[in-house]
Amino acid sequence: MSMHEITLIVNGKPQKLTVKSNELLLNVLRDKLFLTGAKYGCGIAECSACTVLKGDRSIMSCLVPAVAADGWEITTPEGLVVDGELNAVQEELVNKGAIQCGFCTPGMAMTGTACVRENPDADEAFVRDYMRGNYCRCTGYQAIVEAILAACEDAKNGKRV
Amino acid sequence: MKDFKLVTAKTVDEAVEALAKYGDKCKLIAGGTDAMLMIRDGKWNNLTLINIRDIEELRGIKLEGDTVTIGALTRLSDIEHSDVLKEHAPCLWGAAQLFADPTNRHSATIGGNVGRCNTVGDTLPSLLCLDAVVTIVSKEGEREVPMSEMLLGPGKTACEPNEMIAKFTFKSQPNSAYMKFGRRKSMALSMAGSAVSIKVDDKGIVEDIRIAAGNAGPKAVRCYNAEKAMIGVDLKSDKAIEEPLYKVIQDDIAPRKKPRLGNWISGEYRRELISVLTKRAARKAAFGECMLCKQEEA
Repeated sequence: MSMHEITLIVNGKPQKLTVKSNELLLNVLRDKLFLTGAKYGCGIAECSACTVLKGDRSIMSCLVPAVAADGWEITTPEGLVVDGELNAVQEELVNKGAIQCGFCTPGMAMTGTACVRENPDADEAFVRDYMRGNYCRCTGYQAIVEAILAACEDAKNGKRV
Repeated sequence: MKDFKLVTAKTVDEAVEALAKYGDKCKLIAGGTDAMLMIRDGKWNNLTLINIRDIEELRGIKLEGDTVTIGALTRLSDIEHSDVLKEHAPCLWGAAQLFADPTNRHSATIGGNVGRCNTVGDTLPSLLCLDAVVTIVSKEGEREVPMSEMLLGPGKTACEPNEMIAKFTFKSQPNSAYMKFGRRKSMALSMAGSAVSIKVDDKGIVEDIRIAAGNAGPKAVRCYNAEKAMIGVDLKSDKAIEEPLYKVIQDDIAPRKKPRLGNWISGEYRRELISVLTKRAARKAAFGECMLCKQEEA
């Protein structure tokens, strides 16, 4: 088993790591950096619970070998919080009661953030389309969509996303 | 995670060098949205993965004159947001929007979609109907393969183990459209799809047409018989297109008696779907809408 030296910039901090070829980005984030926000859901790119941001783009960390992520800038759900303050999407998810069991919530926050950053003028159809890969098995979709639409308004009023 | 080795190629030269070295003991991985599933499923074992995700020279969409070039590592999200493709290849632009979900599209690449040659690949019918030419590179050099000869069967393309797809080239086709039918909107494999590129006169008579059906048996196919039968037909008339699109097109679709993937979809239903989707795609390509209910009045 060959080992690789990689550098990840996670939530703004460069991290030097030694990883195996077959280690996934998700596992490195959770098991080596103890950032357990991103969840292991299905492992086959169906549920989006493992979503993280690469730059401003949402990607599924269960599909990326850690070695392939060498040099990337990654934001995990923890990284959306700055100085103890939630970002607009996270805060609206709380405000709208869009959290039931909570397992999908980190993924929703990440994809929601990508959605608001890409199009702060999003309407409901756009949000539903953008979030369509994120599963909530409690089926609390209505509140989640409302939260992201509210976050779009917040973003236009200058709140950090 | 199952065991695999991984080498990263930062340039095309490094990638073809690695392909020459490992041959059929390696697979390329770009976005990984399909490759990682194959490994997890145990379908790819003891392989060396060649990571080509960050080869920037293979990324990008270019328009020169009326020729469009798309790099193999262009992500589906770049395709769906491309103004060039919106104008010059709306079928491919539309296919990108129906592809999985936005998060997957941030990773998945067009080269990967073609290279994997899945029966349900969403970009395949569009590239077929655009009559794209695929440029394939290896250590020995470059060669060009027309899209119609590229797809050989499920998971099989004209690409040899030591070769990789570099780019796709095609002529601008503003009058084209892609229609897909899946079980649901999100992450749904296409049960059937149809891409059409068309030229009609001002009365709606078909002058030239290219039809490609997705998931039509083991692979996406060009429907040459239906294309021939459609020339001179009034696209607005439901009666006139019945013969070419509901009967003749069946000769183009590979015969498949048994349903695939358990009881996912029967061959009969797929045939019916392809006929209907082709009709709608043709009308959307020609008139900008599929005239679902308007044709009776005309």
